[in-house]
Amino acid sequence: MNEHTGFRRSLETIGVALLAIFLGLLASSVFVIIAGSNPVDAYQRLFCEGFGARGCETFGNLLVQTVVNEDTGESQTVFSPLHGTGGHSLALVLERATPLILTALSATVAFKAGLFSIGMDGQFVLGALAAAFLGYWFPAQLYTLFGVTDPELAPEALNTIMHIIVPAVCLGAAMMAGAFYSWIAGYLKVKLNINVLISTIILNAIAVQFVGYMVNYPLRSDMNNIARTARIDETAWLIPFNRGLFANADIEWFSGSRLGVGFIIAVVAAVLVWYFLYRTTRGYEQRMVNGSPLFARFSGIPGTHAMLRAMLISGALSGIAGAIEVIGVERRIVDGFATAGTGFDGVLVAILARESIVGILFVAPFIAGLEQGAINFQFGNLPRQLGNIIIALIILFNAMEYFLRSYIAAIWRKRHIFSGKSITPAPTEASS
Amino acid sequence: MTTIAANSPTRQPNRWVRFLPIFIGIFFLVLAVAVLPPSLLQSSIRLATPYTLGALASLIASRAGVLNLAIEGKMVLGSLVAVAILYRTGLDSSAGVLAATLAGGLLGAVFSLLYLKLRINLVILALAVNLFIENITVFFMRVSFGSFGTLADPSIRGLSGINLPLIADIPVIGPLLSGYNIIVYISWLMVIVVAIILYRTQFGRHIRAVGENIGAAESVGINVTRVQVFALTLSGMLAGIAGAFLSIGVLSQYVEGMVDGRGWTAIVVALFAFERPIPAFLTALFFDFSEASSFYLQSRPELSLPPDLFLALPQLVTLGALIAVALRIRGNEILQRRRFVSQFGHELGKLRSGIVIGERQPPKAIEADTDESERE
Repeated sequence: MNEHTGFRRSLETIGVALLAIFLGLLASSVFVIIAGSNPVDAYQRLFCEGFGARGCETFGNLLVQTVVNEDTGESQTVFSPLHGTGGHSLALVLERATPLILTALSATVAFKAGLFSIGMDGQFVLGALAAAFLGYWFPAQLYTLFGVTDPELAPEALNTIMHIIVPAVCLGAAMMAGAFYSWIAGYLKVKLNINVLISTIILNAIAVQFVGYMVNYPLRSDMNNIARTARIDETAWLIPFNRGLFANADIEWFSGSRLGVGFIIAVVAAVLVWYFLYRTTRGYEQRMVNGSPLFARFSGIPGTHAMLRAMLISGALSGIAGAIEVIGVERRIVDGFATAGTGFDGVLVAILARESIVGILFVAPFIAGLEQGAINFQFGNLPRQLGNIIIALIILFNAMEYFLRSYIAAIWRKRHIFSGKSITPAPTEASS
Repeated sequence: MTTIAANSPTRQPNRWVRFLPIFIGIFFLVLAVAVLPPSLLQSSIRLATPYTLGALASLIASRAGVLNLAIEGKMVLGSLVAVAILYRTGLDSSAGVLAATLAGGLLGAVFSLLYLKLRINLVILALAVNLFIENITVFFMRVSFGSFGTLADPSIRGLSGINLPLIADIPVIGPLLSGYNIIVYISWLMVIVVAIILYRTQFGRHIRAVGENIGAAESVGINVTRVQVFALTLSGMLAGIAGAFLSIGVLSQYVEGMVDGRGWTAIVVALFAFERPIPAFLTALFFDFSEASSFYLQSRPELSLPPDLFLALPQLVTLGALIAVALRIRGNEILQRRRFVSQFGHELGKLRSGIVIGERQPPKAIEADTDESERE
């Protein structure tokens, strides 16, 4: 019986999510029509740019596609998510989803402890700044330390070691930067009961200004029109798949994207966070603090410790996200990186996924694909803000859970009525 | 539900503590008038308007028990609508103010419906509304006006300054009180109006009752839904005017991202003033003074200060203010507890014997009520 309700509940949750996506797209089509475009065509373009392979034209092409072989002239039908000739946009989506997964995990850890922290943006940019600085400064220091004048002539052994140490140092420093920044908000909450939501909004703004200042003044590398930091040393890179692991296999699916080790880190982090939250005592304590603070206190759970720990973990995850974005994808910080609001998208992903870790792994690529599709497509005169409008509406509809659930429940009941079953289950069913 | 740092205490133990921020505010005002250049003061009084209106919008909603975090979005909407109406119709600029007010009020009403009827979580609702408005404004700017980043036209004229006839002639204070545009005066008026509504009318008492204890208010026959819808609509209207001030009060154009977090700062202003209108006005003046001085310092090349750091100055002031508010609340709690202990201390001692929090001891029920803040 218990499994049955649990299964039905998760089925309902998925149903609500799909319904919310559908309603969100339906509602946004009003704006597409106002802009003078055909919604079906626009959405086909949007989803093909976001999720489709080369040559995707219709919704059907997202799954099955007819490809003409250039050598033989034959046409064949392929399963398009795996059809990677000329690079697949799903690889770009996963690249874009990597920081979203990590910041959404960060948000989830905080939300689960009852702290509505949206400081992911500030922690993200500070982590990125730490990684970008160490990415070129730390290798240079190591070379001086070992007396290497020209990095080209560095001994093979040193290079190998540096390829492991430097990214680890970058990630570690970014973790600490993010964790420290998040700890400020947590400390203010625990000691002075300052609302985390408000304090993190302000801390975000400060961090964004600070990173803007650092990129424009102390860390500015050249007199390029747009201020930017120096490019990080090659030893600091997180290797993309199409260079490292699959360099010889020559898999075209990855070509053009920098999807790499960072994505593996994100997935591993998701598994670790799940294990921590649901299979360890401390994770239980953190969830307990949210569920019933008073009960947690009376059960001897140190609430303040659990909250601070949640904030530290949350900040560390966001910091890693920033570091991966720099050492895995961007290789440097360009002015305007800080104001892009990547960390905030993670909060939206966490809200949409309803704080479920599995949900995040699905929602993050979905959001990333919508954003990518909206940025890439130039359909008629539709601006790229359409992507965020759709996301905002999906969030709204998804948050109408109470309303939608009762609606779904009504349908569920009706189905039972129409299928001729009686409301009380037959004895054979009950025993099985 | 997320609660905000200030729980709008109804009883303040000490009159002096209660009026302390007002005295500090007046002290700073007098000091400022005496020392600082009048142009700086004038601009900081003028630019405090969106904070004043935003803080009023925030406090009237939280007084009715609704955490309104969508002020940013309402301001953005107001600022675009004001310019867009003038651009389309070519009417006088006061029509823009009216349109922004109506648009903000409409958004507030929709917000209240979504919250009250569809039971959407307030924080998620506010984040979604902010995201939606920020993008929909840009969307319509591109689609309907074909403009990128800035919506400007020679036909759009900003609000002009109004010289108050008698006050303008007063020697020192005159220039500081006169010569602003209509929205500045509206904001001053609204401070008084909101104060009167909250403290001197029956409806205001209903608003405060709903905010204090929604169940109790409902049980004595107050129409809670109506009160909250009204509060959120009024809140939206105020935020809409604040937005109109930014677009046609300061400039005569709409620039993408011109609201720039002022809605969030306004919420902190309201918190700092413990959700009371007149202190909120003084706090807004003080807050904006920090922003105006950052502009003032930037405009002095001889100091050669990097502008980015100065843009962070208002945020740092905000953070400092938050901490100050929290310390004030903590101080009040300690005072209240002392008073409580001096009255009922011996009773409390009996109850407390044998209970140590945090060491897996069986609790006693009363501990939870009296000792909430003592756990650290």
